[in-house]
Amino acid sequence: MIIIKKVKTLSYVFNQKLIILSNLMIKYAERHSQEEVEKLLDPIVLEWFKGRYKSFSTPQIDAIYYIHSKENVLVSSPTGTGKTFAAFLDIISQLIQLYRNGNNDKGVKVIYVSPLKALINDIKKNLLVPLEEMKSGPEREWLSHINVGIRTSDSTSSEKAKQLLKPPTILCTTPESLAIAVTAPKFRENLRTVKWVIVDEIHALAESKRGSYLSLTLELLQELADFQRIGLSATTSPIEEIAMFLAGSKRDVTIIDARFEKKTVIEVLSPVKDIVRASETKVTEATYSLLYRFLKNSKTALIFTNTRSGTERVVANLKKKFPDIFTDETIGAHHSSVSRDLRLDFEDRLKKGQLKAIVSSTSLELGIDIGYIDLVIQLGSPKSIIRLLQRVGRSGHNINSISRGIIIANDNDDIVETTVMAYYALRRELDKINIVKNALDVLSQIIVSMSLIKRWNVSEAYSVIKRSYSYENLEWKDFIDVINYLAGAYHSLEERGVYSKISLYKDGERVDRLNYEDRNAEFGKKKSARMIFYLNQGTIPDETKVVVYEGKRPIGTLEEEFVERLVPGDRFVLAGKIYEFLNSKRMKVYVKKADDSKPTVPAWFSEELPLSYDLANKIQAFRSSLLGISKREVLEKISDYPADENAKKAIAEYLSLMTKFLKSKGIEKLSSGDYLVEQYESDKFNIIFHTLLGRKANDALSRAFGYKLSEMIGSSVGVMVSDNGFVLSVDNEVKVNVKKLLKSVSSENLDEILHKAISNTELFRRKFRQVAARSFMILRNYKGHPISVSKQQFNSDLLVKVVQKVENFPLLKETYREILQDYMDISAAKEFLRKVESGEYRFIVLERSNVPSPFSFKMLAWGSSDVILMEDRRKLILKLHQKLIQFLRNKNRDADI
Amino acid sequence: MQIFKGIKTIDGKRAVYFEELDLVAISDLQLGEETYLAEEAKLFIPQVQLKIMLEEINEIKDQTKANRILINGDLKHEFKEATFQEWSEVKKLHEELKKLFSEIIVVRGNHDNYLLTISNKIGLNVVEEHIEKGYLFLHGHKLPNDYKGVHTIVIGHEQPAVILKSGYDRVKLHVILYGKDKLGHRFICLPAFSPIASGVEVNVTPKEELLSPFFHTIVDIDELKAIAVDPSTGAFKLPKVKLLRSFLLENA
Repeated sequence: MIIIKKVKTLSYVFNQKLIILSNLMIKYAERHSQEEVEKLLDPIVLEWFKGRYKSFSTPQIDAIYYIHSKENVLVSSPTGTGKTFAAFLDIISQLIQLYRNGNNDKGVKVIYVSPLKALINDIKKNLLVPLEEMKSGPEREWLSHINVGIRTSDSTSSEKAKQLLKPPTILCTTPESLAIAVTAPKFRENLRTVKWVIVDEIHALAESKRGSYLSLTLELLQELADFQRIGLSATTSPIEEIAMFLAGSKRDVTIIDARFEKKTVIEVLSPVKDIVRASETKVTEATYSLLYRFLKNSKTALIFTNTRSGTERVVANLKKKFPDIFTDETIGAHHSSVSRDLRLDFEDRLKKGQLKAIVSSTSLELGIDIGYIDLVIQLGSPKSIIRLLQRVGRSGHNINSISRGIIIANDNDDIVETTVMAYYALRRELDKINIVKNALDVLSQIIVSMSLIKRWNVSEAYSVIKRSYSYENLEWKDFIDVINYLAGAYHSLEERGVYSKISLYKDGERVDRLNYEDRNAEFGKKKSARMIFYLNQGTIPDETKVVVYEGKRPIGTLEEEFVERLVPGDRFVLAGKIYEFLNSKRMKVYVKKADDSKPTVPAWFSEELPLSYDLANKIQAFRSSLLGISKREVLEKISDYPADENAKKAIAEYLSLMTKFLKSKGIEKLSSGDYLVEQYESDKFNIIFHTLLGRKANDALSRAFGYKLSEMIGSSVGVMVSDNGFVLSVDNEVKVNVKKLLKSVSSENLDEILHKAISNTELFRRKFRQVAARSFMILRNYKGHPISVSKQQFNSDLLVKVVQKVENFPLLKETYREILQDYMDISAAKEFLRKVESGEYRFIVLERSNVPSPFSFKMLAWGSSDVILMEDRRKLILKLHQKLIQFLRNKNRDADI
Repeated sequence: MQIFKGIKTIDGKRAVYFEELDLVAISDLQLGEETYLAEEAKLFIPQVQLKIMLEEINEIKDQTKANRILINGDLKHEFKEATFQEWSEVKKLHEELKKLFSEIIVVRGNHDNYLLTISNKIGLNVVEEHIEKGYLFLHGHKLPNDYKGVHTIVIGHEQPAVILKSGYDRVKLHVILYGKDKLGHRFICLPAFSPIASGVEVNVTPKEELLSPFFHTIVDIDELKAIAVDPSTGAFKLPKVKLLRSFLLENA
């Protein structure tokens, strides 16, 4: 049902942002009727529509109504509700009316932007058919004025040249190609006629730096033309923020909230009767049998795993176990590592209904047309309520059919997590996405692109940039720092020529750098910058695969992110075998076989999606409410949760084990604000924090507490981070005062500690390299020659070493920002600490023990995933020197020193 | 700290002091590596090397009061062509050194192709190798013609460092390598003076991958001892490279 609300100002929705956004008005769509909308459409369009369809869906009616009213509109509804179609229908109708009224100017009228090239190709096909059909009436020759063009990185230069002469009425493009079009000296003139911009899959863009880039690009387009913004989004939240992201910080926008328009059914299943006691092999076996049962009875099912490797494994196993129905012809894997041709082939066969099942990691979350899916199966937790709804929403081919989804959980924690998730998904209580704010590397790109257009007054440029919601709070100081960086001000005078990407002027004279007071200075283009911009713009980091060697023999590749986590001695699975990590050098990883030992790092850890903070809080509340009561009481309390009997029994069993454990420690009950801290002795001494906050917040907390612990004990600390908490481990003989440790990190000092704790990590170096590439400090392509990543990589530690000596270096600031705010969630971590400080939350520290709690099992099974090195270099060296002397003494070689 | 009689470390500096010669030796400055990276790798890092090196050299002068300095090769990272920009930093370094030392000796390294052509212009003394009172200084990318009258060989080129590791702790240290070669000379390998050089981990790198021909002929690197030089601890002695190798493997 559409939420019908009267016009509201933002203050009602979003109290905290009231001051900043007082100029902006967000409206919620009111209901309109089919008849009202029919009156708005041009007869040609209406006649065509009626010849083919019965009626419009509710979101379609509203989309047409509000697009027609020339307002900025955000339409949020599940995939398959026809929102893209509706948007185009009204726009085509308006275009026809323009032509009827004799308006016949050349130039682009509509820009359709999508993050996916596949979607762009779909759209073109889907537009051409109705346009062709509408033409078939009498005296409609002029409809052929409406032509559709595609402009992506795949477009040839001759195609682009043709577009220059005969600009397409409707231009379908990606954010990156649009950014180039806006700066292209001739082609940009064709954009002065733009009246509509449609941003498809806007929810996916908003969460990334690509979104920041697009929102700035739209502001540059706004300098050329006055256009209406139409955003199309799958189910997401907070919808008001996505609306502001679409409109910019000072424009009105109407929200059509049809997120829950499709009926949805979701159930959590346990593959075995007693998952608490079942072996992993048994669970896996049972999962495949269950899959088989569902797949046999459905027409075409879409299976989501959370990882690419999982995707391949599921396809291979289904083919092996059930060759009767699963062959190369009936099942396929779809993820970003699958070759393009293969992927297109799968998509094509899906549309024709030839596939029985398709298995995907994330690539099919977005709205590529995949035809009729009658069931979505999620293997393991998708980690967020929104993602669950988006995925399940891919089933049921139109708005009137039901979306059916099942989740097959794979262990105790997974059952608890997915049951809570499904429960809130059905109650429409969504978790929130995070919109990237003030990314300084993307800002660098846009300033360079602005310089290519004209010479800008810095204050004017600043206000254009601040119109973007992603930069509405951009600090003047940061803006000037970025300008100075681009002008080469951080380099010596002689070298500036090589380094600068823009030119600066004060009172018409060239200058080398600006002061913060220079509000009337100007910046403009530098000769070589256009080529650098064209070849290096875009925000997606080059996918870097690291080659793994066993001796001299390459045995496979690992993702950079995965390698970031490895420390010597870690064991992991690659291509079905266990290897021990020896070291990594210049994008090469060296390993040796370790067949007899068990892996210490889960495969593809880096691919795992993080649990959302909001959902984590809900699970914490759920878990603690069910502790300290009997199994029967648990079952009663969860009777209306969407899970099968086995899953519910598993929850009761699992929580009663924890209840027993707590009782043995003298704890009867826990409230939702109680966070356990265990001290568990095994081969290491482990401090287990049960901070169920999601991995992003735990990443921040673990590094801060780990850093403080390292300082306290004068030794490096092993860290393992998960969604449910984190583990710090040190040598057994070390004495740790846990109470003191808990007090050492606060909401006040968290920032400062984290800055120190991450500055010397592999994570920081890799992220810095990506930021440097986005800011054109490292070029990926020069004069048309791609520059190999390995050539750039060989010194990312050198790079960081050098820039850390430069004051106010904006790229360092951005690296910290990205790690703390996007990669980790420092604000959630701070909120948690504040609540601990205010007494709303408390840590409950358990005595040292050699038996871990049931809640710890999964965390401990993963082993250590990162290490916080001792910060004090002198102490570290002396300690290692001591160890060395001990070693030599044992060998009777100490006289050798 | 004494390395050999009359040859000393200078606190945690990546330099060696030769008392008898009133001379300080440094090696592998890689000046202008930033420019090289900008042009070749399109990696635009700010220039900080020269500034840091000049500060270090000033401290070395204060501590040793030496009147002479020898740069044992690879003064410059790479000379593509002898343009002003290419050697402006060399010129600046030279001017600063002149203020501190009465004599500056530059030994040619493998990166110094264009150095000879421009050295005359700025009055820089560049030699293939430097022999004085039985001390032989050479960069180390090739072997000398003979060792007549030589008792001590000093090279650079390899940029030696070691890794120490135990449990979760690990640290990388630049080192001075020293010992006897197979012909009985005293042998020293200087660490890279460039603050941005990462150093070659000699207790990890297989012998056959080492750069200098010395380590494939008259010097067995495993038999050399090391002295770590680090600003946080100063200089301290380490055992032979072969023991540092086994410390790494057996103490994992």
